[in-house]
Amino acid sequence: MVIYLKAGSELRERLQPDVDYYTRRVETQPGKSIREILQDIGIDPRLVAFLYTGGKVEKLDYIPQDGQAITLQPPVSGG
Amino acid sequence: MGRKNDRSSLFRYNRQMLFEELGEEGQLKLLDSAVVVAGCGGLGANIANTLVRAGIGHIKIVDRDKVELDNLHRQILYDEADVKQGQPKTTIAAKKLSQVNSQVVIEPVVVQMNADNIEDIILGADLLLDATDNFETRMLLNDACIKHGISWIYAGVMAAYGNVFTIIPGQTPCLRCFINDLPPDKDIPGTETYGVLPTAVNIIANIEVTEAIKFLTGKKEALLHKLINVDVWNGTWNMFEIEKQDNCPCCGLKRFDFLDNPRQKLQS
Repeated sequence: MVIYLKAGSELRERLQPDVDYYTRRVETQPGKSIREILQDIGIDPRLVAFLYTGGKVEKLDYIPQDGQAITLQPPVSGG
Repeated sequence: MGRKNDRSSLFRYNRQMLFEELGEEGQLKLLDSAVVVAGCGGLGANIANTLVRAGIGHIKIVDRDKVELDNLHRQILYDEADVKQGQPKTTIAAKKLSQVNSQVVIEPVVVQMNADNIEDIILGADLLLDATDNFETRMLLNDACIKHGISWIYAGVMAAYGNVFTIIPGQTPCLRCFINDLPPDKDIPGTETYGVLPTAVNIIANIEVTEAIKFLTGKKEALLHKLINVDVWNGTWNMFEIEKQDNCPCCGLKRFDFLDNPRQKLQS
């Protein structure tokens, strides 16, 4: 199946987008969590604080469906 | 926290009270409120400035740092003389803001927040506003606030965007319901790497204070109840639902790892 991972500035460089400026098309197996998928493509899951998808915030254990778009949120630490 | 409830002059809040959701009743609630501003950098200076002008009765500002030149583009309470003089940020903030509004009590606390002092810092507060710059302190705030039933507002900003989420113990998810285990802060790229726009800081701070005003005036139905993500560069404002996790180590299982083990790091 295919999912679409999106990320902004700091994670974008690691994600290496290929669909548009923010988005990478990733082929993966059904049932894998985002944590596992990130590991598969060489991104340290600890650099992702949480996910946005379908109007909700999800954690890394989230299991995506075919065709789903997931936005990766890095830790927003500044104050 | 002590409270000074000077109701003798409400006129200064006239334009604020004319906002029908607030009114005189809301203003009196603000004057009776006590808050902690955790951090007095970009977010904290902006937050403290607005809280003082809005007439929040008692404001405790906590920060250990002094002003540096590369703070000035976003930290609105400080100037070049403050960089030279080397006084703590909270001392400067209290001095300047007391000239803005002598009706409110401003309590500067020059200390690094840690597991030994955080509970003393927050006790007695109606609300805490996050203006810290690292996740270890935020997790500590989350533990302490959930443990003592004190509501708090998480906020963070980086580059051109930021997040805000209001946390009410027992009612909403807490920070650990949705933030994954993170590496130590030294390994997390921050504003020293990716920078930060002052406009992003200002808008995130003002969303945070707006949530605070709703909370303190009892308008809890007006709270946004979602994670707000704003990007001033792309011009986007998004809100996302967060689910409370029954197995959350903090608000679910009442395990306060960051309070109980000061050496606890953000590692799985």
